[in-house]
Amino acid sequence: MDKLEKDLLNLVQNDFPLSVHPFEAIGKKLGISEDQCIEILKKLSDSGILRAVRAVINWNSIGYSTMLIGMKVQPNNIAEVAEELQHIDEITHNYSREGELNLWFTLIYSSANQKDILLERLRKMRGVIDIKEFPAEKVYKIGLKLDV
Amino acid sequence: MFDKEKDLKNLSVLQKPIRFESRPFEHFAKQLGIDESQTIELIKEYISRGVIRRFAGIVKHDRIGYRFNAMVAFQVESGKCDDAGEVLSAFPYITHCYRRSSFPDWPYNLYAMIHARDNEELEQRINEVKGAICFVSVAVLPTLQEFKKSLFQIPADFRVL
Repeated sequence: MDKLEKDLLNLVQNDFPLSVHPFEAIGKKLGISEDQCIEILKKLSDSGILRAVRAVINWNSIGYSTMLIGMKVQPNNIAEVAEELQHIDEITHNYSREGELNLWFTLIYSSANQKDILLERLRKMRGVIDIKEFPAEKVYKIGLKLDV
Repeated sequence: MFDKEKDLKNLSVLQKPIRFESRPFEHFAKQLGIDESQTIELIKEYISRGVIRRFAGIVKHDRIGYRFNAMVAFQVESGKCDDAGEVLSAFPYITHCYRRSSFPDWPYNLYAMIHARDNEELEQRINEVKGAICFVSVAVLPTLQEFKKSLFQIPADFRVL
């Protein structure tokens, strides 16, 4: 990535203009045209560096709940369990980690009942030894951005 | 009171990534049946209500060099948790920090996601963070593999909660 691409990424991460012609406004700040700005963002998007420009929704504010789940899974079943989680829309993030609880994922759901049914299903999967629920009691930071 | 059904309908449109074109909000406006400036005002209204946290570019961490990360779980005395959470949140390389419930066999109540460009930097940062707060015990849980990172979509057949 060159300097211009980095500056552009930092700009759209931090301060995306909400106006009719946002890319023109961004271009102005960087001394490039609207077309150039769009072209570079397309390129960064195609190469997978820029995942998207979008609204980040606070699900809790519209009646959904979110939960971090830590699972203890037999090491040789992890890939299999992870594959199953892949197809569940309510699961948005899923990582294997070192430690006692070795598979961690986040869940978005609209009722406790829906969550319980899902976790019950996971509990029955081969290799799943323990499932712990870690609701957030307080949010100190949701940053989502790192300087490029 | 806010109209939840309307909010969900609006957000099912507004949650989509914008297109890289001269007037990116035109597409949303058409779907919402309002004009572009109303669409932009609607987004701003959701931001001021805290429904939309932010409207911005989402960059893939590993693609900008942050390939190494760890979830660090601290056991902190409950009275000291807010102070510790504030200290941790000030580190630019910590993207997420939460207080969470704990268990007798899992006593950690303060969680932070730490990002770094290599293993050495990750170690350094973990040590820096450990030195910055008062804690009883800690579990460092390095990320081994990312299996999934997706965008939750309001289901088309959503029901009002």
